[in-house]
Amino acid sequence: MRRRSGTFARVATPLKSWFQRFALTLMILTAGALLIVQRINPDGIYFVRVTIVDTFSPVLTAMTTPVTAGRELINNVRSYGSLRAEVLELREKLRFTERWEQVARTLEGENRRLWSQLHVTQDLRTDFVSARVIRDRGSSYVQSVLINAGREDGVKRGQAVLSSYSLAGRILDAGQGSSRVLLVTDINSRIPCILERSGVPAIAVGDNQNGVRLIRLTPDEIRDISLGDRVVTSGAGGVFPAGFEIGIVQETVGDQVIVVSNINWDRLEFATVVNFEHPDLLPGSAFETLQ
Amino acid sequence: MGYEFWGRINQLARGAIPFLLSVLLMLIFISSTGIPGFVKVAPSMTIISVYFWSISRPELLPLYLVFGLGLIEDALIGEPLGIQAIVLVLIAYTVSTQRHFFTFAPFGYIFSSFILAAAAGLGMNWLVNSLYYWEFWDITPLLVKAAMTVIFYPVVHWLLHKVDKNIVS
Repeated sequence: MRRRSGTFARVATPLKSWFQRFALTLMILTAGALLIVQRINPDGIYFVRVTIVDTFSPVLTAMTTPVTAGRELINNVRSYGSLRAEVLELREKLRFTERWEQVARTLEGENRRLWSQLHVTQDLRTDFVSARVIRDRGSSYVQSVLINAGREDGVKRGQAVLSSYSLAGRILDAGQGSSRVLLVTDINSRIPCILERSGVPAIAVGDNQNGVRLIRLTPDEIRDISLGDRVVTSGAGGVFPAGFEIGIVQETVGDQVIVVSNINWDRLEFATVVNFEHPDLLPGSAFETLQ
Repeated sequence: MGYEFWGRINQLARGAIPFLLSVLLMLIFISSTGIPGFVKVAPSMTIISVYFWSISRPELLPLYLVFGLGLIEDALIGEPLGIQAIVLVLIAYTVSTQRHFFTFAPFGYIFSSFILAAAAGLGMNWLVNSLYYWEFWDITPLLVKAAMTVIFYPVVHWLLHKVDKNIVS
Protein backbone atom coordinates (compact mmCIF):
# COMPACT_ATOMS: atom_id res chain seq x y z
CA MET A 1 0.00 0.00 0.00
CA ARG A 2 2.81 2.33 0.97
CA ARG A 3 4.64 1.45 -2.27
CA ARG A 4 1.51 2.26 -4.33
CA SER A 5 1.09 5.65 -2.68
CA GLY A 6 4.78 6.30 -3.30
CA THR A 7 4.31 5.47 -7.00
CA PHE A 8 1.27 7.75 -7.14
CA ALA A 9 3.26 10.58 -5.57
CA ARG A 10 6.13 10.01 -8.02
CA VAL A 11 3.69 10.46 -10.94
CA ALA A 12 1.38 13.10 -9.45
CA THR A 13 3.98 15.50 -8.05
CA PRO A 14 5.74 16.33 -11.35
CA LEU A 15 2.33 16.43 -13.09
CA LYS A 16 1.06 18.92 -10.50
CA SER A 17 4.16 21.09 -10.77
CA TRP A 18 3.95 20.95 -14.58
CA PHE A 19 0.29 22.03 -14.40
CA GLN A 20 1.12 24.89 -12.00
CA ARG A 21 3.93 26.03 -14.28
CA PHE A 22 1.83 26.10 -17.40
CA ALA A 23 -1.58 26.85 -15.81
CA LEU A 24 -1.80 30.37 -17.22
CA THR A 25 -0.86 29.31 -20.76
CA LEU A 26 -3.23 26.33 -20.60
CA MET A 27 -6.16 28.46 -19.47
CA ILE A 28 -5.61 31.20 -22.02
CA LEU A 29 -5.33 28.56 -24.76
CA THR A 30 -8.53 26.88 -23.50
CA ALA A 31 -10.41 30.19 -23.42
CA GLY A 32 -9.08 31.06 -26.89
CA ALA A 33 -10.17 27.65 -28.21
CA LEU A 34 -13.65 28.15 -26.68
CA LEU A 35 -13.98 31.54 -28.39
CA ILE A 36 -12.87 30.15 -31.76
CA VAL A 37 -15.31 27.22 -31.50
CA GLN A 38 -18.19 29.61 -30.67
CA ARG A 39 -17.21 31.98 -33.48
CA ILE A 40 -17.20 29.17 -36.04
CA ASN A 41 -20.25 27.39 -34.65
CA PRO A 42 -22.30 29.38 -32.09
CA ASP A 43 -23.96 26.14 -30.94
CA GLY A 44 -20.62 24.34 -30.51
CA ILE A 45 -20.63 24.48 -26.71
CA TYR A 46 -24.34 25.10 -26.29
CA PHE A 47 -24.67 22.50 -23.53
CA VAL A 48 -22.00 24.20 -21.36
CA ARG A 49 -23.83 27.55 -21.47
CA VAL A 50 -27.20 25.94 -20.80
CA THR A 51 -25.87 23.82 -17.91
CA ILE A 52 -24.29 26.83 -16.16
CA VAL A 53 -27.43 28.95 -16.57
CA ASP A 54 -29.67 26.09 -15.38
CA THR A 55 -27.50 25.61 -12.29
CA PHE A 56 -27.68 29.24 -11.21
CA SER A 57 -31.20 30.17 -12.37
CA PRO A 58 -32.90 29.06 -9.09
CA VAL A 59 -30.57 31.43 -7.17
CA LEU A 60 -31.28 34.26 -9.62
CA THR A 61 -35.02 33.59 -9.33
CA ALA A 62 -34.79 33.71 -5.53
CA MET A 63 -32.83 36.98 -5.69
CA THR A 64 -35.39 38.51 -8.07
CA THR A 65 -38.39 37.68 -5.86
CA PRO A 66 -37.90 40.49 -3.28
CA VAL A 67 -37.21 42.98 -6.09
CA THR A 68 -40.45 42.04 -7.84
CA ALA A 69 -42.36 42.10 -4.54
CA GLY A 70 -40.96 45.55 -3.71
CA ARG A 71 -41.84 46.86 -7.14
CA GLU A 72 -45.39 45.52 -6.84
CA LEU A 73 -45.75 47.12 -3.41
CA ILE A 74 -44.65 50.52 -4.74
CA ASN A 75 -47.04 50.18 -7.70
CA ASN A 76 -49.88 49.24 -5.33
CA VAL A 77 -49.24 52.22 -3.07
CA ARG A 78 -49.08 54.52 -6.09
CA SER A 79 -52.29 53.12 -7.58
CA TYR A 80 -54.21 53.67 -4.29
CA GLY A 81 -53.48 57.38 -4.64
CA SER A 82 -55.03 57.57 -8.08
CA LEU A 83 -57.76 54.98 -7.56
CA ARG A 84 -60.72 57.13 -8.58
CA ALA A 85 -59.06 58.44 -11.72
CA GLU A 86 -58.07 54.89 -12.68
CA VAL A 87 -61.60 53.54 -12.16
CA LEU A 88 -63.01 56.25 -14.43
CA GLU A 89 -60.34 55.56 -17.05
CA LEU A 90 -61.01 51.80 -16.89
CA ARG A 91 -64.78 52.34 -17.26
CA GLU A 92 -64.17 54.43 -20.36
CA LYS A 93 -61.80 51.76 -21.74
CA LEU A 94 -64.38 49.06 -21.00
CA ARG A 95 -67.07 50.90 -22.97
CA PHE A 96 -64.62 51.31 -25.84
CA THR A 97 -63.59 47.61 -25.69
CA GLU A 98 -67.23 46.45 -25.62
CA ARG A 99 -67.87 48.34 -28.85
CA TRP A 100 -64.77 46.72 -30.38
CA GLU A 101 -65.84 43.28 -29.16
CA GLN A 102 -69.02 43.57 -31.24
CA VAL A 103 -67.00 44.60 -34.30
CA ALA A 104 -64.50 41.78 -33.70
CA ARG A 105 -67.25 39.16 -33.38
CA THR A 106 -68.82 40.30 -36.66
CA LEU A 107 -65.45 40.25 -38.42
CA GLU A 108 -64.56 36.84 -36.94
CA GLY A 109 -67.77 35.31 -38.28
CA GLU A 110 -67.28 36.92 -41.66
CA ASN A 111 -63.66 35.78 -41.74
CA ARG A 112 -64.63 32.19 -40.90
CA ARG A 113 -67.24 32.14 -43.68
CA LEU A 114 -64.73 33.48 -46.22
CA TRP A 115 -62.09 30.97 -45.11
CA SER A 116 -64.47 28.06 -45.49
CA GLN A 117 -65.52 29.30 -48.93
CA LEU A 118 -61.88 29.49 -50.03
CA HIS A 119 -60.97 26.17 -48.28
CA VAL A 120 -58.10 27.84 -46.37
CA THR A 121 -56.66 25.77 -43.52
CA GLN A 122 -55.93 27.32 -40.11
CA ASP A 123 -52.26 28.29 -40.43
CA LEU A 124 -51.03 28.01 -36.87
CA ARG A 125 -51.38 26.22 -33.60
CA THR A 126 -50.31 28.39 -30.72
CA ASP A 127 -50.05 28.22 -26.96
CA PHE A 128 -48.27 30.41 -24.44
CA VAL A 129 -45.88 30.07 -21.50
CA SER A 130 -45.45 33.02 -19.12
CA ALA A 131 -42.16 33.51 -17.28
CA ARG A 132 -40.38 35.96 -15.04
CA VAL A 133 -37.26 37.82 -16.20
CA ILE A 134 -34.47 36.88 -13.78
CA ARG A 135 -31.60 38.70 -15.39
CA ASP A 136 -32.08 42.20 -16.82
CA ARG A 137 -31.23 43.13 -20.35
CA GLY A 138 -27.73 42.45 -21.50
CA SER A 139 -24.33 43.99 -21.13
CA SER A 140 -22.71 46.59 -23.34
CA TYR A 141 -22.23 43.94 -26.00
CA VAL A 142 -25.21 41.59 -25.80
CA GLN A 143 -28.94 42.33 -25.61
CA SER A 144 -30.48 39.30 -23.93
CA VAL A 145 -32.43 38.39 -20.80
CA LEU A 146 -32.82 35.20 -18.78
CA ILE A 147 -36.29 33.87 -17.99
CA ASN A 148 -37.27 31.19 -15.48
CA ALA A 149 -39.01 28.83 -17.91
CA GLY A 150 -37.30 26.09 -19.87
CA ARG A 151 -37.76 22.80 -21.69
CA GLU A 152 -39.80 21.33 -18.84
CA ASP A 153 -42.35 24.13 -19.41
CA GLY A 154 -42.47 23.49 -23.15
CA VAL A 155 -39.99 26.17 -24.18
CA LYS A 156 -37.91 25.37 -27.26
CA ARG A 157 -35.14 27.14 -29.12
CA GLY A 158 -36.29 29.64 -31.73
CA GLN A 159 -39.70 30.34 -30.20
CA ALA A 160 -40.99 33.90 -30.23
CA VAL A 161 -41.15 35.84 -26.95
CA LEU A 162 -43.67 38.62 -26.37
CA SER A 163 -44.01 41.41 -23.86
CA SER A 164 -46.71 44.10 -23.78
CA TYR A 165 -48.28 42.42 -26.89
CA SER A 166 -45.10 43.17 -28.89
CA LEU A 167 -42.30 40.92 -30.04
CA ALA A 168 -39.45 41.02 -27.48
CA GLY A 169 -37.17 38.42 -29.06
CA ARG A 170 -36.63 34.72 -29.56
CA ILE A 171 -35.38 31.82 -27.44
CA LEU A 172 -31.64 31.44 -27.99
CA ASP A 173 -30.83 28.77 -25.38
CA ALA A 174 -33.47 26.57 -23.77
CA GLY A 175 -32.29 24.92 -20.56
CA GLN A 176 -34.24 22.58 -18.32
CA GLY A 177 -35.80 25.30 -16.15
CA SER A 178 -34.45 28.53 -17.65
CA SER A 179 -33.90 30.08 -21.06
CA ARG A 180 -32.03 32.92 -22.67
CA VAL A 181 -33.99 35.32 -24.87
CA LEU A 182 -32.11 37.15 -27.62
CA LEU A 183 -33.90 40.49 -27.82
CA VAL A 184 -34.93 42.11 -31.09
CA THR A 185 -32.60 44.99 -30.17
CA ASP A 186 -29.50 42.75 -30.30
CA ILE A 187 -27.20 43.40 -33.23
CA ASN A 188 -27.33 39.70 -34.19
CA SER A 189 -31.13 39.58 -34.27
CA ARG A 190 -32.70 39.33 -37.76
CA ILE A 191 -36.52 39.19 -38.00
CA PRO A 192 -38.45 38.98 -41.29
CA CYS A 193 -41.12 41.67 -41.12
CA ILE A 194 -43.51 43.76 -43.19
CA LEU A 195 -44.68 47.33 -43.04
CA GLU A 196 -48.34 46.77 -42.23
CA ARG A 197 -49.75 49.70 -44.27
CA SER A 198 -47.90 49.01 -47.52
CA GLY A 199 -47.16 45.30 -47.11
CA VAL A 200 -43.52 45.91 -48.09
CA PRO A 201 -41.24 43.15 -46.69
CA ALA A 202 -38.02 43.97 -44.81
CA ILE A 203 -35.65 42.57 -42.20
CA ALA A 204 -35.59 44.06 -38.68
CA VAL A 205 -32.07 44.26 -37.22
CA GLY A 206 -31.26 45.33 -33.65
CA ASP A 207 -29.05 48.36 -32.97
CA ASN A 208 -27.84 47.16 -29.52
CA GLN A 209 -29.56 50.16 -27.89
CA ASN A 210 -33.34 50.52 -27.65
CA GLY A 211 -34.31 50.30 -31.30
CA VAL A 212 -34.45 48.26 -34.45
CA ARG A 213 -33.38 49.22 -38.01
CA LEU A 214 -35.07 47.98 -41.18
CA ILE A 215 -32.84 46.67 -43.96
CA ARG A 216 -33.44 45.26 -47.47
CA LEU A 217 -35.60 48.22 -48.53
CA THR A 218 -35.22 50.04 -51.85
CA PRO A 219 -35.00 53.88 -51.89
CA ASP A 220 -38.54 54.02 -53.38
CA GLU A 221 -39.87 51.82 -50.59
CA ILE A 222 -38.15 54.01 -47.98
CA ARG A 223 -39.69 57.16 -49.51
CA ASP A 224 -43.12 55.56 -49.23
CA ILE A 225 -42.72 55.01 -45.47
CA SER A 226 -44.57 57.37 -43.12
CA LEU A 227 -43.64 58.05 -39.53
CA GLY A 228 -45.83 55.97 -37.23
CA ASP A 229 -46.17 53.07 -39.72
CA ARG A 230 -46.58 49.80 -37.85
CA VAL A 231 -43.98 47.06 -38.42
CA VAL A 232 -45.12 43.47 -37.78
CA THR A 233 -43.62 40.00 -38.22
CA SER A 234 -44.22 38.61 -41.70
CA GLY A 235 -44.13 34.94 -40.72
CA ALA A 236 -41.64 34.32 -43.56
CA GLY A 237 -39.52 31.25 -42.92
CA GLY A 238 -42.12 29.76 -40.56
CA VAL A 239 -40.12 30.72 -37.45
CA PHE A 240 -42.52 33.34 -36.04
CA PRO A 241 -46.26 33.64 -36.48
CA ALA A 242 -47.26 36.55 -38.71
CA GLY A 243 -48.70 39.75 -37.30
CA PHE A 244 -46.78 40.29 -34.04
CA GLU A 245 -45.92 43.95 -33.62
CA ILE A 246 -42.20 44.77 -33.64
CA GLY A 247 -42.68 48.53 -33.32
CA ILE A 248 -43.56 51.71 -35.15
CA VAL A 249 -41.40 53.75 -37.51
CA GLN A 250 -39.90 56.61 -35.54
CA GLU A 251 -37.73 58.24 -38.20
CA THR A 252 -36.02 57.73 -41.54
CA VAL A 253 -32.54 59.18 -41.97
CA GLY A 254 -31.19 58.56 -45.49
CA ASP A 255 -31.45 54.79 -45.97
CA GLN A 256 -31.88 54.18 -42.24
CA VAL A 257 -35.37 53.38 -41.02
CA ILE A 258 -35.53 53.46 -37.22
CA VAL A 259 -38.29 51.50 -35.50
CA VAL A 260 -39.11 51.73 -31.78
CA SER A 261 -40.95 49.11 -29.80
CA ASN A 262 -43.60 49.93 -27.21
CA ILE A 263 -41.76 47.63 -24.78
CA ASN A 264 -40.07 49.41 -21.88
CA TRP A 265 -36.77 47.50 -22.11
CA ASP A 266 -35.59 48.72 -18.72
CA ARG A 267 -38.70 47.37 -17.00
CA LEU A 268 -39.02 43.98 -18.61
CA GLU A 269 -40.40 41.90 -15.72
CA PHE A 270 -42.43 39.18 -17.41
CA ALA A 271 -42.31 37.61 -20.83
CA THR A 272 -44.60 35.28 -22.76
CA VAL A 273 -43.10 32.51 -24.86
CA VAL A 274 -45.19 31.63 -27.90
CA ASN A 275 -45.26 27.96 -28.73
CA PHE A 276 -46.05 28.19 -32.41
CA GLU A 277 -46.15 25.22 -34.72
CA HIS A 278 -46.89 25.43 -38.39
CA PRO A 279 -49.32 22.64 -39.40
CA ASP A 280 -47.13 21.70 -42.35
CA LEU A 281 -44.28 20.96 -39.96
CA LEU A 282 -46.34 18.97 -37.46
CA PRO A 283 -45.76 15.23 -37.34
CA GLY A 284 -48.38 13.31 -39.25
CA SER A 285 -49.40 16.38 -41.25
CA ALA A 286 -50.41 16.30 -44.89
CA PHE A 287 -46.97 17.66 -45.75
CA GLU A 288 -45.22 14.76 -44.02
CA THR A 289 -47.60 12.22 -45.59
CA LEU A 290 -46.72 13.54 -49.04
CA GLN A 291 -43.02 13.21 -48.20
CA MET B 1 -11.95 10.36 13.96
CA GLY B 2 -14.87 12.64 14.73
CA TYR B 3 -12.71 15.59 15.73
CA GLU B 4 -10.38 15.14 12.75
CA PHE B 5 -13.27 14.70 10.35
CA TRP B 6 -15.12 17.84 11.48
CA GLY B 7 -11.85 19.73 11.58
CA ARG B 8 -11.27 18.81 7.95
CA ILE B 9 -14.83 19.81 6.98
CA ASN B 10 -14.38 23.13 8.78
CA GLN B 11 -11.11 23.72 6.95
CA LEU B 12 -12.70 22.89 3.58
CA ALA B 13 -15.65 25.19 4.24
CA ARG B 14 -13.37 28.07 5.21
CA GLY B 15 -11.23 27.40 2.15
CA ALA B 16 -14.28 27.57 -0.13
CA ILE B 17 -15.36 30.98 1.17
CA PRO B 18 -13.35 33.12 -1.30
CA PHE B 19 -14.83 31.32 -4.32
CA LEU B 20 -18.37 31.11 -2.96
CA LEU B 21 -18.34 34.74 -1.88
CA SER B 22 -17.07 35.78 -5.32
CA VAL B 23 -19.94 33.86 -6.96
CA LEU B 24 -22.48 35.39 -4.56
CA LEU B 25 -21.27 38.96 -5.16
CA MET B 26 -21.39 38.36 -8.91
CA LEU B 27 -24.95 36.95 -8.72
CA ILE B 28 -26.20 39.90 -6.64
CA PHE B 29 -24.99 42.38 -9.22
CA ILE B 30 -26.12 40.50 -12.32
CA SER B 31 -29.60 39.51 -11.11
CA SER B 32 -32.61 41.59 -12.02
CA THR B 33 -32.39 44.73 -9.85
CA GLY B 34 -35.21 46.67 -11.44
CA ILE B 35 -33.00 49.76 -11.73
CA PRO B 36 -33.23 50.95 -15.35
CA GLY B 37 -29.95 50.60 -17.23
CA PHE B 38 -28.07 49.39 -14.14
CA VAL B 39 -26.91 46.09 -15.66
CA LYS B 40 -24.93 47.86 -18.37
CA VAL B 41 -22.92 49.91 -15.89
CA ALA B 42 -22.99 47.63 -12.82
CA PRO B 43 -19.60 47.31 -11.11
CA SER B 44 -17.61 44.23 -11.99
CA MET B 45 -17.71 42.33 -8.70
CA THR B 46 -15.57 39.51 -10.06
CA ILE B 47 -12.68 41.88 -10.84
CA ILE B 48 -12.90 43.34 -7.31
CA SER B 49 -13.13 39.92 -5.69
CA VAL B 50 -10.39 38.27 -7.74
CA TYR B 51 -8.07 41.26 -7.12
CA PHE B 52 -8.69 41.15 -3.35
CA TRP B 53 -8.23 37.40 -2.90
CA SER B 54 -5.18 37.29 -5.20
CA ILE B 55 -3.48 39.66 -2.78
CA SER B 56 -4.72 38.25 0.52
CA ARG B 57 -5.14 34.50 -0.16
CA PRO B 58 -4.18 33.40 -3.66
CA GLU B 59 -3.90 29.79 -2.47
CA LEU B 60 -7.66 29.74 -1.75
CA LEU B 61 -8.60 31.13 -5.16
CA PRO B 62 -6.28 29.31 -7.57
CA LEU B 63 -6.26 30.08 -11.29
CA TYR B 64 -8.56 27.20 -12.26
CA LEU B 65 -11.28 28.51 -9.88
CA VAL B 66 -10.79 32.04 -11.25
CA PHE B 67 -11.19 30.57 -14.74
CA GLY B 68 -14.42 28.83 -13.65
CA LEU B 69 -15.71 32.07 -12.14
CA GLY B 70 -15.10 33.83 -15.45
CA LEU B 71 -16.93 31.09 -17.38
CA ILE B 72 -19.93 31.32 -15.03
CA GLU B 73 -20.09 35.09 -15.45
CA ASP B 74 -19.82 34.84 -19.24
CA ALA B 75 -22.61 32.25 -19.38
CA LEU B 76 -24.97 34.22 -17.12
CA ILE B 77 -24.39 37.54 -18.86
CA GLY B 78 -24.76 35.92 -22.28
CA GLU B 79 -21.36 36.90 -23.61
CA PRO B 80 -19.19 34.38 -25.49
CA LEU B 81 -17.69 31.86 -23.05
CA GLY B 82 -14.05 32.59 -22.34
CA ILE B 83 -13.84 36.40 -22.50
CA GLN B 84 -14.21 37.20 -18.80
CA ALA B 85 -12.32 33.98 -17.99
CA ILE B 86 -9.22 35.32 -19.82
CA VAL B 87 -9.54 38.74 -18.15
CA LEU B 88 -9.89 37.35 -14.61
CA VAL B 89 -7.11 34.77 -15.01
CA LEU B 90 -4.71 37.47 -16.23
CA ILE B 91 -5.62 39.78 -13.33
CA ALA B 92 -5.23 36.95 -10.79
CA TYR B 93 -1.90 35.85 -12.24
CA THR B 94 -0.44 39.37 -12.45
CA VAL B 95 -1.56 40.38 -8.95
CA SER B 96 -0.53 37.15 -7.22
CA THR B 97 2.94 37.21 -8.79
CA GLN B 98 3.40 40.80 -7.55
CA ARG B 99 1.89 40.00 -4.17
CA HIS B 100 5.03 40.88 -2.17
CA PHE B 101 4.52 44.54 -3.14
CA PHE B 102 1.04 44.53 -1.59
CA THR B 103 1.54 42.46 1.58
CA PHE B 104 2.25 45.32 3.98
CA ALA B 105 1.32 48.16 1.64
CA PRO B 106 -1.11 50.89 2.79
CA PHE B 107 -4.67 50.85 1.43
CA GLY B 108 -3.96 53.84 -0.87
CA TYR B 109 -1.32 51.82 -2.71
CA ILE B 110 -3.61 48.78 -3.07
CA PHE B 111 -6.46 51.02 -4.22
CA SER B 112 -4.43 52.88 -6.84
CA SER B 113 -3.11 49.58 -8.20
CA PHE B 114 -6.70 48.35 -8.33
CA ILE B 115 -7.67 51.32 -10.53
CA LEU B 116 -5.00 50.19 -13.01
CA ALA B 117 -6.07 46.53 -12.80
CA ALA B 118 -9.79 47.38 -13.28
CA ALA B 119 -9.05 49.69 -16.22
CA ALA B 120 -6.84 47.05 -17.85
CA GLY B 121 -9.37 44.26 -17.20
CA LEU B 122 -12.41 46.13 -18.50
CA GLY B 123 -10.42 47.49 -21.42
CA MET B 124 -9.33 43.98 -22.35
CA ASN B 125 -12.93 42.75 -22.08
CA TRP B 126 -14.00 45.52 -24.49
CA LEU B 127 -11.15 44.70 -26.89
CA VAL B 128 -11.81 40.94 -26.99
CA ASN B 129 -15.56 41.56 -27.43
CA SER B 130 -14.85 44.02 -30.25
CA LEU B 131 -12.56 41.52 -31.99
CA TYR B 132 -15.02 38.66 -31.46
CA TYR B 133 -17.96 40.54 -32.98
CA TRP B 134 -15.74 42.59 -35.30
CA GLU B 135 -17.61 45.68 -34.14
CA PHE B 136 -16.09 48.56 -32.19
CA TRP B 137 -18.55 49.11 -29.38
CA ASP B 138 -19.48 52.42 -27.78
CA ILE B 139 -16.96 53.05 -25.00
CA THR B 140 -19.20 55.24 -22.79
CA PRO B 141 -20.91 52.41 -20.81
CA LEU B 142 -17.48 50.87 -20.29
CA LEU B 143 -16.14 54.10 -18.75
CA VAL B 144 -19.15 54.34 -16.42
CA LYS B 145 -18.74 50.68 -15.48
CA ALA B 146 -15.04 51.25 -14.72
CA ALA B 147 -15.93 54.27 -12.54
CA MET B 148 -18.61 52.25 -10.70
CA THR B 149 -16.15 49.38 -10.12
CA VAL B 150 -13.59 51.80 -8.66
CA ILE B 151 -16.23 53.53 -6.48
CA PHE B 152 -17.45 50.18 -5.09
CA TYR B 153 -13.95 48.84 -4.38
CA PRO B 154 -13.31 50.38 -0.92
CA VAL B 155 -16.64 49.10 0.47
CA VAL B 156 -16.22 45.59 -0.94
CA HIS B 157 -12.55 45.55 0.15
CA TRP B 158 -13.63 46.41 3.70
CA LEU B 159 -16.28 43.68 3.65
CA LEU B 160 -13.95 41.01 2.23
CA HIS B 161 -11.22 42.05 4.66
CA LYS B 162 -13.64 41.49 7.57
CA VAL B 163 -14.58 38.06 6.21
CA ASP B 164 -10.93 37.17 5.69
CA LYS B 165 -9.93 38.27 9.18
CA ASN B 166 -12.87 36.82 11.10
CA ILE B 167 -13.93 33.73 9.17
CA VAL B 168 -11.30 32.49 6.73
CA SER B 169 -8.42 33.00 9.19
